[in-house]
Amino acid sequence: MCRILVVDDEIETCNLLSEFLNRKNYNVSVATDGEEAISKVAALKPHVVLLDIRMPRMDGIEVLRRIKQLDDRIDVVMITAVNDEEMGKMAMRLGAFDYITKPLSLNYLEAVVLVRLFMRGT
Amino acid sequence: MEHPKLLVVDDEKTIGEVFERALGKRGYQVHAVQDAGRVLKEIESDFFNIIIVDLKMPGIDGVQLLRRIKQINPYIEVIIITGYGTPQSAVSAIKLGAFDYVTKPFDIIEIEKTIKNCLERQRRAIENIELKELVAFSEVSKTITSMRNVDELLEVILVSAIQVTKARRGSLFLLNEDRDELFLKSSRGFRKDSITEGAIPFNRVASNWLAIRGQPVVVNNTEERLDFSGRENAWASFICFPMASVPLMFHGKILGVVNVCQKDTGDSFTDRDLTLLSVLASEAAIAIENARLYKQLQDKISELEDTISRLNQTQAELIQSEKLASIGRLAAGIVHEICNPLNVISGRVQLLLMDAQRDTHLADSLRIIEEYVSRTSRIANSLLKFARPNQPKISELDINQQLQETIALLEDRFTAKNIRIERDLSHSLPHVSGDKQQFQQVFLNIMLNAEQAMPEGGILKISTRELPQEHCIEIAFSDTGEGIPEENIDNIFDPFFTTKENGTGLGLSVSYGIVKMHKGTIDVQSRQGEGSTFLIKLPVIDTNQR
Ligand SMILES: Nc1ncnc2c1ncn2[C@@H]1O[C@H](COP(=O)(O)OP(=O)(O)OP(=O)(O)O)[C@@H](O)[C@H]1O
Ligand SMILES: [Mg+2]
Repeated sequence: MCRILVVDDEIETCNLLSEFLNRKNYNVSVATDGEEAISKVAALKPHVVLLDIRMPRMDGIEVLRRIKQLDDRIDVVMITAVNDEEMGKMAMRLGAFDYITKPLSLNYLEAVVLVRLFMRGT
Repeated sequence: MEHPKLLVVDDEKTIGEVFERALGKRGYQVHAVQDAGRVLKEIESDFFNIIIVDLKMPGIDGVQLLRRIKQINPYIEVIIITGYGTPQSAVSAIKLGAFDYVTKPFDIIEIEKTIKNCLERQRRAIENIELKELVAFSEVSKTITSMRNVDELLEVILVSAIQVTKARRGSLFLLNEDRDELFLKSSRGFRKDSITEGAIPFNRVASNWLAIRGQPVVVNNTEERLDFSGRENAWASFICFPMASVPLMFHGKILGVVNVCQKDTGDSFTDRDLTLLSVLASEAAIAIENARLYKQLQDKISELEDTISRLNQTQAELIQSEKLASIGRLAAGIVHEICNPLNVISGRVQLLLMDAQRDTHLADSLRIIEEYVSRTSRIANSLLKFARPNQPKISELDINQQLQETIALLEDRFTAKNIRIERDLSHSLPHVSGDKQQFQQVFLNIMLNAEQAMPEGGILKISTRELPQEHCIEIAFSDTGEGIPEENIDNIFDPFFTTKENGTGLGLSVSYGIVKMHKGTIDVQSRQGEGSTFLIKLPVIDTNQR
């Protein structure tokens, strides 16, 4: 089963995404800040990380860099604020798999994950 | 009149001698000639109070002679000598302006009475004329002191100087302080080639010589050349006639010189002429100085007005862009704060929708919530754009083409709403540099506003033209819509200002920001009920820098 880590400092966002992804039968964990995200990535070895860019303390870009250092096969999908597409594109240059903007379309989110799974053949 | 001058003209030599002897003793200067042909020459070179003339001389048309005399100098009086048999011709001569007639043989007592009467009439006539001149003169000086335009003023001065002295010609020079030279400001009565135009070196012309001294000068005896002690002498055009010159002085400073020459009457310039000229010159100098001060004041005032209006302009721009910037910063913070809650609401609604039975009231409600959430987020989105515009992609653009593209997007829609688009695009519009998409956004905003202002249809006229002086192009959007009430005009570019139920009030403020970023201006002219015109000016690409 595909393991997904949701990282967002807003706990309700984490709850929302995990509820949705659970329904779709993914194995979901959550982290609410950068430090926690890094340790959970190391511990859980998720296939996909959904990562909020704007977070206090360590921001999403930094977390992305560390994850990629830890394990380059982990695919990271960045979640950006409405008009933060520039940031999203920059994240993709740093190795993010894709970026999606808030407010999220859950169906689109799942499509992105599915594409990733299809490409990796997991 | 100490010694009145008489000219006696008779072909009989003795008659002349009788007059000379009889009247000479009584204090008259009598000059007698026998040849009537010399009369005109005599009066051209000299002034006579009275000419006593026998009109019946061989080879002479007495009437014609009388006419010529009066033409040359109307002040000269004429007394006719006539025989007993010809009173008729004497009467007709009087009709032509002769004063009286005396008959041969002469009664010298009678004649002197006639001469005295004649001189008295002459004196009164001259006084009368001088009085009239003085009245006219004081009118002129009143006009002069109140004149503000220096060029007109100088013309009036010159013309008046010529008039009051009954001169035939005149010229007016002004001193160019910086370069120590006089230049001819204006002249009357000279042949074009006899007078030097423009600047004249300081020591070239006699009047300059006067100017240096600041003294009025009269030259009547044209034989007597003034000693200009080595100065190169350009008197030629002046000095062959009697002339008078007065400096235009103000507070001891010389502003210029007025010259007049050659009296109509062929007379000399008198002290009276010089006095009149001096009065005129001093009035004129004051007026020139006043006019100069007035002009300086005007210049200062308009300079000040310019500065003030520029200040107001920059201030308005500052306020506007500062307002936008601070609202932008505020907005950016708010948007990020509401982004997450919105995301959660939206996500929750999506989850609920997945659960809800299709076509139930619940599903409908959820869809409405979803729609409004996404609208809210669009608002937030546009706010963010505003705070931190995307890096523009600058390229060289043909604005006409951009307009055509935007029009193409909307044309069908406009037609359906009964709105006709009229194009008046300049064929030779220079290119501008800018971000294509941002311009599209501006044009779209303005055109959509126009559409909304014309719910019953109308005309939207879109025109472009070059403003070469300002190095920019102007794009005008004129609609025939409802117009903008005066009290709103100042607010329509403010963020969030809207009069529409579903408006965000961001269209124009975003457009303002974009145009500003391209170093352009956007403006509106509107009258309620008559439509609105939005004007955008954009700088053209500087071809020198390409
Ligand atoms: N062509 C026009 N004719 C009349 N009023 C206009 C016109 N253009 C703009 N306005 C006035 O200016 C206001 C501000 O316009 P702006 O485009 O900024 O916002 P909006 O059109 O109200 O909202 P939005 O464009 O975001 O939906 C409008 O609400 C309207 O009152
Ligand atoms: Mg609008």
